[in-house]
Amino acid sequence: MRGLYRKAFIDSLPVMMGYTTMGFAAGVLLSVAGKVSFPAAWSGFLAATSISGTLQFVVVDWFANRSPLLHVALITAAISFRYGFYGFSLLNRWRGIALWKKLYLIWGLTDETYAIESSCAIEDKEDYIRYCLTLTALDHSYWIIGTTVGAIVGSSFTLPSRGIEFSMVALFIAIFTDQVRGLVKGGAK
Amino acid sequence: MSGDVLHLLLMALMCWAIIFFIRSIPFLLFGRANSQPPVWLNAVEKWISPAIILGLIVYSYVGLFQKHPPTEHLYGLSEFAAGGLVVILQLLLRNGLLSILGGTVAYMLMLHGGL
Repeated sequence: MRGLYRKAFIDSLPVMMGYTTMGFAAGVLLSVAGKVSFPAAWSGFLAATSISGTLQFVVVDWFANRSPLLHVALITAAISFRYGFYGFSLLNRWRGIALWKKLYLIWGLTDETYAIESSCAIEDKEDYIRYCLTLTALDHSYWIIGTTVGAIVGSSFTLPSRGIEFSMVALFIAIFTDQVRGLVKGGAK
Repeated sequence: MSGDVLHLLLMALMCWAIIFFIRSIPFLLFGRANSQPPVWLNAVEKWISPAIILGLIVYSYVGLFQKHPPTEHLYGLSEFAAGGLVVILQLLLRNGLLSILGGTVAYMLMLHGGL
């Protein structure tokens, strides 16, 4: 049992590195360019609810422009489209578990968490679900911590912000580059 | 609560709802015992996802050019140079954060330098 939590923690370490640094950058960005008071609260709230790296970057522009809700809804659906496919390969392993567990696992189904959960070889169903729940909670908290700390740090300095909106384009280009690389190699990401 | 804060809050809650709904689609469709998704879905995922992201790249370049009109600085050269840098960094280092930071800092420097 203890080994299970240990395994979840060790497997989550690469995600910790990624989420705290990426979250930190998104948090700094929101406080520098989001034009909101209490950026740390907004940053942490967005991270805790949506748990999406892409969204956390894109939302800065919407916050700054106070974009119309319909616009926000359409782009959110477009950038989150891929999440709609992750569940397919987890259907059988998550079938029949308690509803609240399933809901939390779905809520926290990010790119990285999905990658680890879908490749994890734990046979026993109860153990596997406990492992997934622990991993999701860990990744969730890394993301909240990274984004909140980034926003706090970002609001305590005055940073130049002209052109910083390029980070959103850069994020899309980086994702696209990886996707094309995956297609060219013919394997899964 | 001011209208402005309410607008931002609605935005955040809506993003949450949409993303949560999208993540739960497979379970809503095939959550019942013994129901299995069709195989062709794999192909859809493989091709549609990059197509959408490509659309978003175009969309965000349009937004960028509205903010920084290309006529003011070398006809958009700095935007595409920064974009190219992101591709190169991502191909070489495979670290999303470094690619984003590198491209953004390069773009900000170019803007600052009047390019």
